Amino acid sequence: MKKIFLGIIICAVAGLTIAAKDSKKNSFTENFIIGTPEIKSVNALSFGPEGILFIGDSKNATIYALDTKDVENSEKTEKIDIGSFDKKIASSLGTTADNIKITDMAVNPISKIAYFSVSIMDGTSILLKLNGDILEHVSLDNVSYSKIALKDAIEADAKDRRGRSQRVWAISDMQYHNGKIMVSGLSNKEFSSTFRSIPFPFKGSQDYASLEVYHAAHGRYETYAPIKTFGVVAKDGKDYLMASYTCTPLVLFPMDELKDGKHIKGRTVAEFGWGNSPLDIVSYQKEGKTYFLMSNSNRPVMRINYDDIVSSKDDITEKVETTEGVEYFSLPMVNVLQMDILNGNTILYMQRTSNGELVLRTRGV
Amino acid sequence: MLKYRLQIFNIGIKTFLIPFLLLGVYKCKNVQETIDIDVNYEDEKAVSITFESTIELENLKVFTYGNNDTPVLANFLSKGHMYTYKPIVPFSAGQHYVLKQNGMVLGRFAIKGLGNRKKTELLSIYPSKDTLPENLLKMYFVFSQPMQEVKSSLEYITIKNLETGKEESIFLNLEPELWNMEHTELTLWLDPGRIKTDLIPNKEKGLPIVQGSFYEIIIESDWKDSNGNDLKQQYAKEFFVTGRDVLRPVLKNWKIHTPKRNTKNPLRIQFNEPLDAFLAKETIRFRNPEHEILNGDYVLLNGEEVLEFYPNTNWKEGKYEIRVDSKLEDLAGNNMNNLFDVDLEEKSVHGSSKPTHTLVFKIQ
Repeated sequence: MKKIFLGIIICAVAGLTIAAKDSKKNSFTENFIIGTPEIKSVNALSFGPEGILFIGDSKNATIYALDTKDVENSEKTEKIDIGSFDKKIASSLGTTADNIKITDMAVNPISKIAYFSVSIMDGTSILLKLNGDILEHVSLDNVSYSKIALKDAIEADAKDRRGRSQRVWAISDMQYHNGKIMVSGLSNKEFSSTFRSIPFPFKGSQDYASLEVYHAAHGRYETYAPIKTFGVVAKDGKDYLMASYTCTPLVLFPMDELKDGKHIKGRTVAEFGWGNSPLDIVSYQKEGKTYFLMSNSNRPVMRINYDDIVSSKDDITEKVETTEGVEYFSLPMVNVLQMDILNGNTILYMQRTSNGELVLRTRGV
Repeated sequence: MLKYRLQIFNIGIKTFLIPFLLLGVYKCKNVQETIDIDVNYEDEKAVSITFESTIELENLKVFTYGNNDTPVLANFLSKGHMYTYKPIVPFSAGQHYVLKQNGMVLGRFAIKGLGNRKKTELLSIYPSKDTLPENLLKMYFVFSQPMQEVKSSLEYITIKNLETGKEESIFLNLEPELWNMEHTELTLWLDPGRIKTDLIPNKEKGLPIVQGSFYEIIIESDWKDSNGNDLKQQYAKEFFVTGRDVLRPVLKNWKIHTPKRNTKNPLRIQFNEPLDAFLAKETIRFRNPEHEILNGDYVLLNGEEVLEFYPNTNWKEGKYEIRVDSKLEDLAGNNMNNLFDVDLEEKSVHGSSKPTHTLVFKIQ
């Protein structure tokens, strides 16, 4: 689930952003068209401004921006506690829980309504939203949208040969931040990950930056590694990509150095040990401080203090022997598969409990 | 559109109940069960149901059998006395459903199974060799038909160390999984964190596969395809693990066997090691003396150590080029520019940043 980190923008910047937005009202959907986008797979969801939902489609190698028109402001935070949520979704699709997969979840920051992408056995993707405790279908027919195709990492002239197999760029995470939709993805062929930052609204020409990220956390050995999930932090007026890898180091990269094709080295700020894969990162603010929450495949949800990250002085070449670096606090929440900020410091999360039940719940953090 | 009339749940008291229907009495369960429901199929998928009622029906909902809480999301259409209920995704094969109005049962229907379809087979596992380096990075699994997109593939793949008899967990549990667009080719990475020297997973858990050991990889038959059918059979592959591959693929070390001019005989390239089965076909291109890219067929032989290129047109006399994208990898993920694991103290292994590597050959 791919979340929004608007909350981490400092107040002055936020003020400027709001002012700019007001002066260019409707500019976000200016180049949208009405039609059926023919989305093949919904792999990632993330909300942007004005109820615009970004949909990452790995099969089409395309990012869609959907005008949900779900812009009725809601400040209420209703408690959600739904048991057997996978069964509920399966029933709404006329099938059983073993025939579906919930691929992502995102909360509309305006309406506070949660959206879910679901796949069925044959790969058909469906978009649903939860209104109260009622699931509703979000039709993708005759909608207002725009899209941008993601460039193939392999040269275009290699495309038309017989015996060639289809390359897919699997979208591992996606989020909107400060006028850009950022996407990380993995190739199903060569061992590489690419991070793209695409200005939004999408333009006719592809104006984006891509790079392969090198991870040199351990002094002697340098290796390139695929990003699993990421966030954005601001320090001294500069944005940093906070990338988490499949083998869980947390690495900071200055955003302004992410140029097309450039290989840059990051600064490892934490290492959380082996046998774990990060699943999701969200941020929230409490008592004037910003925190990150990171859910993991084999660790409880970790809470990391934003200030600890930006003030970390660890050097990239220092060797990390165990789970160390930036301090984190483990919340009593394990097997959290999806999470997003519902409102303020309330998160909505999907969790597989110890008895195997999939629950959808809210929780204050 | 094939219509499949299903009445197995009707209780055959339609005649008796007609007066009640005419009176608009809908409180009796038996009355509602008199509705005949047609299931409409397109390409064997149950895309809608239709039924007829002379009484105006409203607040209609369909539930999976045994579930009373969450109705099937659908669009309802009515035209005269005919009603159509179209779910947002086709009804599931073999599933039973209940049609209700205001919570009262109107009728029931079931979706027929998919019948005997051609079973999906596992066509290939790459690397196809049975001797593999201990820093092997990935394996590919190629199926004859699209596989299901719901369950984790690792639920159906087991690896056994034949020396110890122990089951091993060597693959990275990646989400999303790496499939091609048709969902017929799966890429699995052996845990990179365990392969990379000095990373914590490498230090604590060791390499995923160990030199000198035999392993068996088993693919279970209950892994379902996109139609929900099991694989044709269980599949297995045994392999032996040799030493670490710490060298990049180097173009100048390849042996080129050139064909004669005015033939379409294949150009044969003998790599000095097995290369990635998919990248070897994707990243190697041939240009004729006019610098045009040649179209043709690529065939890998001898456990991905040999590539044969069959051009569509005759070879001409002159200088040709082999251009290789630097993304080409060997079995350990070492590409043309860089090793998978770069030891910064070993200056000799520092790679390049060339996007392509080129070799010229002559046709005579």
